Amino acid sequence: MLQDTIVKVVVIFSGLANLFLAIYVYKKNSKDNINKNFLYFGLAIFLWCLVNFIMLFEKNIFWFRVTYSIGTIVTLTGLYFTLALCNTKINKWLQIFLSLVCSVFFVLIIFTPLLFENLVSFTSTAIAPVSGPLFYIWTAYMVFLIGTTLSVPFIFIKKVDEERKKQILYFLLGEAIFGIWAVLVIIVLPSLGVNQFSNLDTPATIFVVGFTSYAIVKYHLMGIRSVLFKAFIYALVIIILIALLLALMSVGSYLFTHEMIWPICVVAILLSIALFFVGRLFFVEKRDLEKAKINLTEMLEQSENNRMKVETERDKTATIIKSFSDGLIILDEHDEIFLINPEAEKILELKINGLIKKPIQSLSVFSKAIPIVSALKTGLTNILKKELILDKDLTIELSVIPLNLNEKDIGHLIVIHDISREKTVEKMKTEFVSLAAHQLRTPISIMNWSMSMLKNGDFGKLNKKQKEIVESAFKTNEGLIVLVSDLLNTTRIEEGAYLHETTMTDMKKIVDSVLDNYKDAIKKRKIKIEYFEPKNFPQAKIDEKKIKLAVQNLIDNAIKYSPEGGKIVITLKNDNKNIVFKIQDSGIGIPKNQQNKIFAKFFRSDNAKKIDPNGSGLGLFLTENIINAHGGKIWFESKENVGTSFYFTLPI
Amino acid sequence: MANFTGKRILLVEDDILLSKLLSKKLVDNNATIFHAADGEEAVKMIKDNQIFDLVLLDIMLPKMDGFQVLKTIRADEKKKETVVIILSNLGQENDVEKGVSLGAKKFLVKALLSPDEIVEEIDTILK
Repeated sequence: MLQDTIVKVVVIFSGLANLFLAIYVYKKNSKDNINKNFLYFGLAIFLWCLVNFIMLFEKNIFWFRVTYSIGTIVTLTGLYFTLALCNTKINKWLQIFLSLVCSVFFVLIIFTPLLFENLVSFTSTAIAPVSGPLFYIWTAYMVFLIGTTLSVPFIFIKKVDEERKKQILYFLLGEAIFGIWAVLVIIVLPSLGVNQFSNLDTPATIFVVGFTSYAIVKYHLMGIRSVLFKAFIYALVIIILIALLLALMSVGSYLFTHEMIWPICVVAILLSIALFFVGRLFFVEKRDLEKAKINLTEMLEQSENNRMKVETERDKTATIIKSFSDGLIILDEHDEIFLINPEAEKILELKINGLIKKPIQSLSVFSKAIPIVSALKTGLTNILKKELILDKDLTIELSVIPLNLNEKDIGHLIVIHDISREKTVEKMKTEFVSLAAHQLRTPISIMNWSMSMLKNGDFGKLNKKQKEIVESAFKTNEGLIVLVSDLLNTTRIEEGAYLHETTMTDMKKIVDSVLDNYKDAIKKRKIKIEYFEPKNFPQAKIDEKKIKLAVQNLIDNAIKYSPEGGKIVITLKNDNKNIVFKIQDSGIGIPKNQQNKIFAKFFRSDNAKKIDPNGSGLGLFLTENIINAHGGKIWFESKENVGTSFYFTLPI
Repeated sequence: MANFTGKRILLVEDDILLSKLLSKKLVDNNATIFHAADGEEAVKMIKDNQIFDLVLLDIMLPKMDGFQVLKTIRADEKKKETVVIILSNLGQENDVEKGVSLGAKKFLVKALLSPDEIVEEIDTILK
């Protein structure tokens, strides 16, 4: 029969569902009192369903008694679970008493006929007991348990929070339906002589499972939030619908034959409808609020996760800053110290205690930080690699970088880069070049004097061949003299000792004298010189020797890099503020990609190297330094294979 | 061609070849040349009551450097007026300044001048 099969399926499914639910809940949090009690309750229901399932095949008094004895335990554990859910406990002695009574009934039901003497069979599936003398005591005990289970929540519900209230009400709804159903089919109906439905009590446990599960999903009963679990619930809903169908079928088939049952059915249906609406009244009203609350909880969880992510990122950044090889000081938007990394502490010999949230000036108590504080006195402007001497052995490069976030000023970053080592190496290099140049000067002088006297006939007249050789050796030596002088000048610039002795000097005379020095070379290379000079040329306050060197370097280059027969145009102008010197040649020009390096020390352009492999690459470096030291400017215009024009100005 | 007839010039120079070359040039111009190869010898010769019209003084010298020689001469009442030209291969601003402040009439850099130019400079001073 279809109805029998459905009953069997529902019973075993309900049992297994309860078992699954009980274990799942217990595993989620085995220490929680609620979860523990739910385990006992679920296990009891499972056993009860199992025994009922067996009884569907073995309809004898023994299995009947076993179902009733386990049913007693189900009721008791149901009460204990409800109490736990309401965060309350009953008197310890009462608990012992109730448990003891339950045990006694358990034994009496199974092993004596005091409660159930025998069975009467009505249909092929429905059976009813013949009650014994203690039946009514047991019934009273059961009514007490069920009554307490249903009433306790109403007493304690005010003491629990909103979410727990929802959980309790859903659980109660399930338990109430089950309770009423069970009482109806196994107590009320049999007492009215209707015994056909007594086997439908067990399938009703599905309501307990269903509603409890719903409370778990919807209101995180017993702390459970799981997607997988939701799927399980939907499966349960289907089973519940089947159970309801089953009930309707049973009731329907009976109604056609027993008129007496009508009022009872009406009451049961009305009661169910009432229960449904009472439930809705409790839950629907605040459903939106609950949703919002759950969303809020999820948002809080999300924001907590984000916070942790941000904290991890922050820690990473802090580690990078801390392990940075440069000293870093970070100032906040009020330009107060926000962070000093260990390297900055080390370089400046700071003690960080008490410096945080203080202005940068408070660093001046540490002697090594004083030059930095002075450099920042005029404000935290954009400083890039400013060289500062903090100590005789400690030179740093200071950079100040404004920190902007979304165009908002959030502070400044001060970078302290220790360049002491580079400075020491540079100093050693300079000292070496200086020493070498000085040592070279004596042999160069000897050659200069010897050759000069030889070629001038101080040691007797030389023949043409001898004179020629001595003269070319003399010239080579002169080149060496220039190189050594350039090297010495360069080292002096680097030592910061390239001083300028300025006197009022006639610029025109300097140019004339340099041109005079080069007259032989100009003649030899057939170079045409055009020299434009204004009348009444003003004197300027300049270092004659140095400016002469600068002019000489420019004229020397123009001659050297012009082709034979080329033209050089020299212009001297006075624009009332500055003397402007211009020299334009028709030489090889400076390749475009090398123009930015032309004033660099030792730099020589590729095409210049081809023409004169022996140049030092110091001429323009020195010239630029000389002009800059006078407060003037130097620049050039050049095109490869067309020519170059160099300009410089000197303030009058 | 300068004429240094009757002029007594003390050449203080530790490099033998350099002193030979310059001596020849000066002798060719009729000067009477005396030679000292270190600072101490130079001071001794100046203090030994010899009168020199000019002292050509190197700086980097054995035993006593040129600046020290100048200081010693300036400290000597009788000799402090001695005319001194520094002839050295040092030539940095601070060296020149130091030499001039100690009373040297000129500071000439050997490598940058030929013997003829040096003779011209001496001629200017002695005139």
